[in-house]
Amino acid sequence: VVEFETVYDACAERLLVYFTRRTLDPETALDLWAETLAQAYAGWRRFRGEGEDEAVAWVYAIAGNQWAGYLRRGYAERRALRRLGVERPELAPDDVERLVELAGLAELRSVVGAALGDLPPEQQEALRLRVVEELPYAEVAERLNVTEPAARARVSRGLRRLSLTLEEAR
Amino acid sequence: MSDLRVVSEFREELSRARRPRRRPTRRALLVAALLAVLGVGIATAATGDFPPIGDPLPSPVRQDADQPYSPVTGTGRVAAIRAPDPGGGPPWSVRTHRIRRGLTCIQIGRVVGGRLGVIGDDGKFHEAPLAALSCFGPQRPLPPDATLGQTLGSPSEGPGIPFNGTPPREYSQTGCESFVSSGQSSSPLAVICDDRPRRLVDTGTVGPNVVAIEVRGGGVEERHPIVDGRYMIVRAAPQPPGSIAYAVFRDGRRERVWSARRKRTTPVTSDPAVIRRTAMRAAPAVVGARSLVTVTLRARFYPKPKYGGWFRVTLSGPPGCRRQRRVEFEVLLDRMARAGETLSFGVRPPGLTHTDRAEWCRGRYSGRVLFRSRVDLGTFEFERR
Repeated sequence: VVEFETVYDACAERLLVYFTRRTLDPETALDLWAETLAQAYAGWRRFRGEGEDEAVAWVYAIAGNQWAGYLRRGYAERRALRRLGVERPELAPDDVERLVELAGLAELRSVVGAALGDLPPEQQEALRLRVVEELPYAEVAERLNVTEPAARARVSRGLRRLSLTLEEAR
Repeated sequence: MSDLRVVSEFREELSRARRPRRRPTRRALLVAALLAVLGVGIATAATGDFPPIGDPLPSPVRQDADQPYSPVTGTGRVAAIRAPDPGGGPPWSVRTHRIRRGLTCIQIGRVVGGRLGVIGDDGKFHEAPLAALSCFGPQRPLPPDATLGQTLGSPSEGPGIPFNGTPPREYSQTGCESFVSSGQSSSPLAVICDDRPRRLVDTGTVGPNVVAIEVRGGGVEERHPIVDGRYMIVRAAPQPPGSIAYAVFRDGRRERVWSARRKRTTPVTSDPAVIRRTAMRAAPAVVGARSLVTVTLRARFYPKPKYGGWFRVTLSGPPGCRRQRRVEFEVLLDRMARAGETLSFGVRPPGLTHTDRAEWCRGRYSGRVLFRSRVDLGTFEFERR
């Protein structure tokens, strides 16, 4: 019978790196990581598999759900943390440095920067207005002198190309 | 084992947590579902429907990388705390974000679907862009028994903020954007206010041993929960005088954290000589629907040669103008003013946000200005025909 603690030791760090590479932000990654492990801990009795590998896969399935939920909602859930009465831990500055190193964020950022440079200029500008300046689509469209659907399409295409590049880098 | 401290710390934290005892039976699930349906029905009846979702508000602050106070995109996080509004509708919460200077800033507002924003004039919920209401230094874990970490708001004072959420302006805690310019200033800025109900919002962080904030005395007995180390209290009126707030610890201890003092009312000084010397006037005397009205006065109303402070302005609209019947706001002196200097401030039709299309009502407006809520400086008038 595999113990939760064994599985935690086997995958906790990898899982934190997994979230950091996806969010590019250690703090958000920590939110998702803590909630994932809290859910796994709270629901440990529901795990029906056998062996450490299956247990790790089960935890990663929870992580995948957390990540999908984060993309949909825009924030990390804290339901399990609250239910357990557990505080989300704080990242010490040297933890942040180490995490950035483990996740290879510096390389990832340069990959994103290069990928952004490879986009057509109109997609670059649309992404800058929408993602960096956080403008609504109506204003992005006005600035680019195109219709709102066209502005949405440019942002969407740009993001898709960036995400493909990122997936390759991972 | 990992060399990341956070990994080992959280392992210990989890091992101290108690797992939920057993899985609920089918019957328990059925009862829970029934109760949930009933609960939702009751909650909906109590709070009314949540508003439909509108477009996010555009940011009034340029997200410029060179500006030290610009928000860092992607750092906004809505806290888990939810405080009910006395008038019902979406609850209030806090959103933190980082700014380029490295500080953590917070803003408060109504929350729908995990997003923080305001209820607009159109009745829809509009997500607010990141904007700083107050900023703090590096966030370190609080000591276990800390009672007031990073606090915002005052339980018994201040003009409050608009009931439907804080507009996404920088420093818009009062709901009014205000300024005073000297006579040399070429373009006076505007005071933009809102005359709808206000809320006094009090929020702060506490150490992990604090489980609730209780307010007792002055005719109230309340218990406000701590969620993720934060409390939040939203009131339509100041905390009753004589009431005391206590932090309640895990072991049952109580510690007094603040009290609402009985306010001494300061009588307004009305000196005809001061009013005459101040010589206040509003221009233009006849305004258009959205005109900026500039109120000018000479700083001869206080004996000291230099002073800071604020004006309290009361603006009364024409009868029948529901939203501008009585607008109160403060104009902060942003620096020390010299005696004899000409000061001015601008007033635009009160609107909630910079996207609102507020207009002056037809009829006569009259305003009264008090210096520091105490010294009557006189009145001004203007009219929209």
